[in-house]
Amino acid sequence: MPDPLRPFEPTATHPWDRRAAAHLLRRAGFAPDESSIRRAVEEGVDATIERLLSDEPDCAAHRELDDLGKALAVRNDIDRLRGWWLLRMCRTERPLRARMALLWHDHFATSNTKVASAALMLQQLRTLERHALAPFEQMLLAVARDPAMIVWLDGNLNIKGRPNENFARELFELFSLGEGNYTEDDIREAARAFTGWHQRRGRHRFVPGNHDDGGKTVLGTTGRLNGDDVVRIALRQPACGRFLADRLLREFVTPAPDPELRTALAATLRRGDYDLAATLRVLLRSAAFHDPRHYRARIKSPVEFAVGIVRSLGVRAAADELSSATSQMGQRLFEPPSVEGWKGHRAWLNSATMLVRMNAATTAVEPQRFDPDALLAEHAASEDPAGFFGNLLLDGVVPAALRAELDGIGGAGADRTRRQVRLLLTAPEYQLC
Amino acid sequence: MRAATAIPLVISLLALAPATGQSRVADWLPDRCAGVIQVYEPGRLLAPIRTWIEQQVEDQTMLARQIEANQELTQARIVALGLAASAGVDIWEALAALLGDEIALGIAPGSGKGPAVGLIVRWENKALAERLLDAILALAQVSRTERTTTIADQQCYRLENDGHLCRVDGHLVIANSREAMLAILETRAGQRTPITRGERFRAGLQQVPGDAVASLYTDLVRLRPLLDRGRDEPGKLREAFPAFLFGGWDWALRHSPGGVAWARLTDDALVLEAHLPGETPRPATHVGFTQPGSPQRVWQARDLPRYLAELRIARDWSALFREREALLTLSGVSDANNFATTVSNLFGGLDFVNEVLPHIGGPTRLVIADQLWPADQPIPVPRLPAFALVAPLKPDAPQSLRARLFSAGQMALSLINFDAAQKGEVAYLLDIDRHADTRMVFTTFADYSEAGMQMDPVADTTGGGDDDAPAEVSIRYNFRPAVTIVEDQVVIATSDTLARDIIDRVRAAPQGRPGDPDTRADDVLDLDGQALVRILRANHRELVINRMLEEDQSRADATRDIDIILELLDQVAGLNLRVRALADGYRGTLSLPLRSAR
Repeated sequence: MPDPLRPFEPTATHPWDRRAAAHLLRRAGFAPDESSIRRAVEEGVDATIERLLSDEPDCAAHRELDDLGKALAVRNDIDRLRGWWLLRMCRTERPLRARMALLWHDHFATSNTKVASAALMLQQLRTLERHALAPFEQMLLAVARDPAMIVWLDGNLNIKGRPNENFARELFELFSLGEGNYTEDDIREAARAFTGWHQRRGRHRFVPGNHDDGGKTVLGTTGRLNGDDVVRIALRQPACGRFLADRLLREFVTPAPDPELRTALAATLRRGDYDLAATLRVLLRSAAFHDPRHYRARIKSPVEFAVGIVRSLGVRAAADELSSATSQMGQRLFEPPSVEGWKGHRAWLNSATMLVRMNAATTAVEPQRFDPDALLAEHAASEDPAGFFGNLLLDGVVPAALRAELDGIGGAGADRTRRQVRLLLTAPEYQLC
Repeated sequence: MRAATAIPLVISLLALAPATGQSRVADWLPDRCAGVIQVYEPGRLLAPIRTWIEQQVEDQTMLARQIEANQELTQARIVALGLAASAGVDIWEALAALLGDEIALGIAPGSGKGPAVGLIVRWENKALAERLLDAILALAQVSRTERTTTIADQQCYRLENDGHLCRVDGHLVIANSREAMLAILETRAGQRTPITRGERFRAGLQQVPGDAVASLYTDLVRLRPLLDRGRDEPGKLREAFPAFLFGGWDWALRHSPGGVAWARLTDDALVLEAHLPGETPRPATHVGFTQPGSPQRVWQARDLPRYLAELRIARDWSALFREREALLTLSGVSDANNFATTVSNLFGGLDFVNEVLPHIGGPTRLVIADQLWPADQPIPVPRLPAFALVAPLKPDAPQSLRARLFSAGQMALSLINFDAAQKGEVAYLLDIDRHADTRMVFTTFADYSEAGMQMDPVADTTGGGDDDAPAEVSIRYNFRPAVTIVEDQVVIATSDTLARDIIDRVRAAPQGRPGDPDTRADDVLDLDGQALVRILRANHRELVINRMLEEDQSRADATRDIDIILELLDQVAGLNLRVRALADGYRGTLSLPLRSAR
């Protein structure tokens, strides 16, 4: 059985071409623009992955937007903050980091419906972004101290003698181990370790008087354990590697990972002390990632759909419109539906959300937002607009029926091209990532 | 600074020939038009605009610099200059020629594809206008053979989106559809009845004074079916608050044959006037939409320090609540009942509808004034002005009601505090003071030192560029409610400073007499433009942020746009809207005073 994480070797039948490059850029970020695809094809797979993993500062346009976060938090305007986050995703030149922050927001699902503070939600987002590609231990330790998480899972009620188990339970079940890899006793004992871990006015506060400093046994380890100890004990469990591997594979490779692939990635994670950047370098370069079976195997989330359109077509987008559209499609950032986050994949699509996607596509190609002629001229593709946009949006894999429909669209000039692009954006194939 | 940048515009326009009310260009509009806009001698409007723009350029104002720096405007200007030069004139002569000496725009309900719109311009200098139009059409590639078509024996050009353009008898005609163009050309040829022969149109236009520069006529009989579109119950409104504010206007719109509005220029203002006559007197269910002012202290909100605006509404709230079932849909009635029940609870058993509202006189006033922010207090973001709701008690209101109003105010503040506590927010400290011998309940924030945003500053490492800026707090810190009753005026304010200022003004004001302008049953909106610009400038950063997010702009572009908007607003000294309720309709006047000196 070959190692599923062995490096991808381009062949004549499966070359490193624009389709492979677009697949990588889409999965490790958002739908790319034409220039990004061409550069990736030219630079090769290794250079493209290194560019994705780069920790260089983001571009000026992104930094300019970034500076607005604090002002929006002061206003406690969560709707605007949601749109601001989406607009940053549209403008970033570090799409993998943005994609990982989005993943962690789903993983550590915290909702402003209870937190009720844009400032705390922003603070959590900054934490998720800062540790997006760092070793997972740093992320878990930071999340355990995150004020929004403490409000969300009632950390202030977790006091000596009356431990509140909410955080301890989610730490094991949803954040690190998964169901069946801990006992109720482990949760009770872990909750004692987090007693006194409170938040006050946006800062983590350890209140010694509320902390249970007695002996505890968690997942087989005994001692006068505190919260940090519990996080490290959880990370030492083999189940943690499998759990995190499964999460990464479902995000980047396939909604139904093979057990062998999961085992291999879990081993990679544990060997590398859960260094996420190093793990992703292996995963994105792997034969499994580039396996044709996994091409367009996931359904785009609303954020992937909306941000992807903006990025690939260079559409002008307003923060509020992005926020409203993605919310109506079922992904209201900062307000995941439960501690389990969004169900994702097939749950993203139904008749109602598909209608919203169609409306969003119609809005995106309005003349005041989208200039197809400029894009065609930039890439010397004015002769065949449908072909160019079919390549850009569907990697050139345009079913014959769809191509016939595209060609059958009447009219002329930019108006016709806009209608062709709209048809591509609402095609079933475009809903896949 | 140069004086009178806006004055030349006003003075020049005063010399305009009076409108006759007997339109000539509108004779080409068919009688199915529901709306007609007419501009009288538009070419002559250009002279004052030219003077104003040249003054801006000469003074190198911020507006002029921004416009010069705008690439799109510069390109458009170059194209316009080229077109004018090709016709041997300057750009202003070209514009005057194209705008002609009379313009009429007609709008008619369409057949499924939106309204039909037609524009007719009568050219004074036909030869020059024709030359210019030829150049424009050639540039836009409209005059190509394949875009020509014949409608009603006239050669026309097809534009984008089914638009059509035609030149006939020294007139330019543009319509948004072939059908609309056909209707205009057939009306011109006498094959259709023009709107100008209609009774309602003629009656409406007769009211337009001779010095009007433009007029708008609306045929409400034709539009009436549209007013009920989408409504659960025709004639009724869904939301109680807007229904009680605007239900009277809604009724008048539904019972008026047609409305007419016109614009005039006085020596220091642009004045818009409108008349909405009714066909029948207002019914008994709608009498609550007017209420003569109670005998009360006549105090002027404009005298308040840092005055910004005032909204004065003449409503008999008690009568409106009494007739809520006639005015509101079923769900609106339910909401109104819920509101009344909730407020009754604050009055400790008094029935809000039957025991409180009947003692409230008119008019109800919303007064707005800028706030001062002490140096030792953090500044809210955005920085809002203070608001005060002021309503008079009728002379026969029982003395006990005053105490009940105070206790209701305190109870409401306590509920706000309880809600704040549940959210972990800083609560109000409730206090009582006497100002000018008047009792006042007011609030301060219990703790300003911890009022900053709930966020660890070290956590926002990416967006922490403004860490050295003064402490800022959220929008709620704009509101420190105060309640008082001075003389017969009940005051609920969002700052104790404004409440104190109102106390001072009311106590110094004379007793009103019946017939005083300030006791009439008029709705009034008054705004100090300069105060508004000051407040907007104080929120400049917030406006730029909003623009960046709403328009997907860079900071530089957003800043430029906001600066232009503020500079344009700065040209308007204020706004005054007065709407008088007549027995059967309304008459309104909107005055926009222009700044006389910079």
